[in-house]
Amino acid sequence: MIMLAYLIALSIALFAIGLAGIATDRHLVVIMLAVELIFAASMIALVSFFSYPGKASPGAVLMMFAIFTVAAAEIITVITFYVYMKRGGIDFDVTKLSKLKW
Amino acid sequence: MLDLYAFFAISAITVASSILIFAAKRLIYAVAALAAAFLGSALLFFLLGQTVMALLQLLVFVGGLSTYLIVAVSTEEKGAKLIFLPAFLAVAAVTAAGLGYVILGYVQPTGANAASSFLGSAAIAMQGSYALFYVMATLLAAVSISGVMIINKFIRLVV
Repeated sequence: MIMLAYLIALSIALFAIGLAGIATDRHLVVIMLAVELIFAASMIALVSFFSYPGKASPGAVLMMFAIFTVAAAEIITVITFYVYMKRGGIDFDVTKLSKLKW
Repeated sequence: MLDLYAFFAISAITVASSILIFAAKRLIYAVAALAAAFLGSALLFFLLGQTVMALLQLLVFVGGLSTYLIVAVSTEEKGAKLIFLPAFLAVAAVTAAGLGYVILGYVQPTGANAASSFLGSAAIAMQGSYALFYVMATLLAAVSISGVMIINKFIRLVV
């Protein structure tokens, strides 16, 4: 059995990489991919705790599926943003996005 | 001990893929790296014995949503050349070889230690009711992603 600390360390590493990506990258789609990475990190942490006897909570399964659903919906949002912004000729640089309507 | 080595290998792949998301110069490489990170987390779930979660991750994220992302990005990128097709095929071949190694029964788990080891649990899962779903999920992911790349390489899609 793998030590829980290793799994949590991996989860923290992925979370940190995703957070650093959100903080430093300016491309809208890449930022949303970083959010996906953070979702994956939280999934790894949840599944790690769930896999260890005595550490699982009854709501963990519900939470896992909730994260699954939100992450899947977010990918669809990324695709929609990407296609419509590309067709509209809108810049993906988030520092230049200041309007809600064009 | 084998579990630990497998964990470190999977972790290295996952972390490297997640760094590549931000290091990639083109968006499609970033999306492919995200798919690899999802694949790594699915393997990790499988390693932890959560076979249903691994299957869901493989079906929904790797096989489904990553393919949607690659389709969207590759069709909208003008003049995109997917030059990493040989690398992708190599990865697909290694994956197929690994699955074949387990499915074809070269791993013969015996005794109580079988379920606690990674390859042992993989072999048990493959022999059980999930076998068909694992094969279907892997084939769907491989065929859909490679199909998109091949189509985009030879035929210019107009959306």
